[in-house]
Amino acid sequence: MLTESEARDLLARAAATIEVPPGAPVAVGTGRPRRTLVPVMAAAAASALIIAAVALMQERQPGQASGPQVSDTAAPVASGIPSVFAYDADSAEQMLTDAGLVVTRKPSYTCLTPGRAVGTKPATGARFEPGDPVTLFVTEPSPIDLCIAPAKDALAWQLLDFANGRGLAPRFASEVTVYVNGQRTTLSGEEAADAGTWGPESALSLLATASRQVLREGGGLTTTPVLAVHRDDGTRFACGGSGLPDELAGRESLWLTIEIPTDGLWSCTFANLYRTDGQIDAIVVRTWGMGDAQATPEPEPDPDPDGIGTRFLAYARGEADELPVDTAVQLYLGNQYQKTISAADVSDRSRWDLCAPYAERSCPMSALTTLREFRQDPAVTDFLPDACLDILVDEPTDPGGNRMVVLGVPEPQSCMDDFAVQLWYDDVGQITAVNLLFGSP
Amino acid sequence: VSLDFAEYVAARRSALVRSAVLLGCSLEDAEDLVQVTLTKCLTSWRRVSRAERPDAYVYRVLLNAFRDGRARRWHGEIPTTELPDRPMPDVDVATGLAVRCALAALAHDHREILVLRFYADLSERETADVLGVPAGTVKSRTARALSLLSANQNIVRSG
Repeated sequence: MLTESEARDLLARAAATIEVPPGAPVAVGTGRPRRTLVPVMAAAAASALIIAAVALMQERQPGQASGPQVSDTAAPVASGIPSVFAYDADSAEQMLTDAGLVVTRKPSYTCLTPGRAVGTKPATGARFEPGDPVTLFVTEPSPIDLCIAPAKDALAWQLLDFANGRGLAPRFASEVTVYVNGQRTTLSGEEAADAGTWGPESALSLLATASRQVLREGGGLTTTPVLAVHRDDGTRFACGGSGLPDELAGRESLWLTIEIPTDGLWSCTFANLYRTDGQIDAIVVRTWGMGDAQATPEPEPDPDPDGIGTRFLAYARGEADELPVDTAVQLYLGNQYQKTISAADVSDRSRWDLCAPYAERSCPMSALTTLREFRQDPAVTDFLPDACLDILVDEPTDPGGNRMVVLGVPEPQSCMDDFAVQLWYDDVGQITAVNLLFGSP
Repeated sequence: VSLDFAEYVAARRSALVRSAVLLGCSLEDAEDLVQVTLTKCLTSWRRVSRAERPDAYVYRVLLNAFRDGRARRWHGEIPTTELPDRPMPDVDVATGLAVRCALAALAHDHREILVLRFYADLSERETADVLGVPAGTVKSRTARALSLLSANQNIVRSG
């Protein structure tokens, strides 16, 4: 399981993907709060939230799809400003001009490949009339030498330009092995350099489709893809789950992802480019996301937590003969490890007995006996239900399974009446650990 | 406006907006939410600023405002976040987005506890105060949320 330190690191990474525009500076006055302003500001802000919420509700009537929609379009988005993702500056300016906009370029200083279109103002999806101005932001090297590593994205953009019919082919080797969602084909170098020979469901086609996606939300909001480029050392693969072909294991590649990032939906296309002497000899493309059943592995059905709890209760009360357990079950008392019993010993109820100074209870203590003697139906939850329980140490760090269900007293009359049996189980519903907790006075 | 308040806003506004996005707001709504939060805090800033951890108080206001807003929304859905459409070369985008995707798939309780404990960096006691639940619940809910996050195969752990 993740440690707290790892969780902090992951949350920090998640937060780092959120670019927060600078806020207006807060005026520093005499130190005397301007009380008359506050209700007005609060009311205005609250009104904005309410209006936004109402607008959202109006847009999402019952029976309509409530989620955002991903469209595959290179055309203007709902009569709005088109996406310039995967365009170079010239082709983006031409496209915007053709759409009737008056384009002004502005530099966007980055360490990325210069001359790429990175966005517009107004943004993609904004409605416009012919003749309206639009600012096109184009990557330029920073006037101050800030960049410490060469841009890795040039080849990625070149491949996307080629895929979209807006640029020349990158350098291919005499033979190119292509994997698309696990399907292997081979192209000669000449075939690879001719976009027309790749076909409609090819790696090239998938990359073009991914780069044209625009996610449309209610209220005219749109999200265009994000390109990320990394070096993959061939031993580690992040994001997406499926592995690279075995025959490419250990080879360094340039790994690019084209993602539509949202909360709740995520479409992602991965491509690993393998090169020898600067020439691409293998490409692996995988797609993952909405409507892509081929690339999305069918998830195993989750074991039903209520079912696990109910079955354990039935076993404890002698109403069931078998208990699904892993090869062994760890037993805990008040979060403190006591012993492990093997699967073969599970049916021997005396092996469940525990004895330790705990919550002023007398020995032996057993999760099975406690549940058997409890005459009500216990509450089944996924967390410990209240603060009455006597917790000796922090929760077990390695209880085997990564899922948990708790059987507890629904409404204890006092802390001495309170107990909980916390069950950990694995992906296939086998119990790996049992923690018995009692309330203490 | 007192100097302390201005300093607090300058120092913490971005983190509050990011927290709101991690909780499920769009960036636009997150900025509104933080504005509402800070406006509410301003009215009692003297008391807030004397607290041992003003963050805990501010996060409680933020979470309440967030839940109020969520309750008003269609089926409790939060609008999709609007993200920048350009690469962010210094950021581990893939992992960060995978974490955001995983957060979005969690129940509200688990999502809130992860954001408060591991992004806002509140203690268990402070988190319990913010959420209005016993510390034991924070402990068990945190374990459960970490377990669920660990099980997400799209997230690659550092190291």
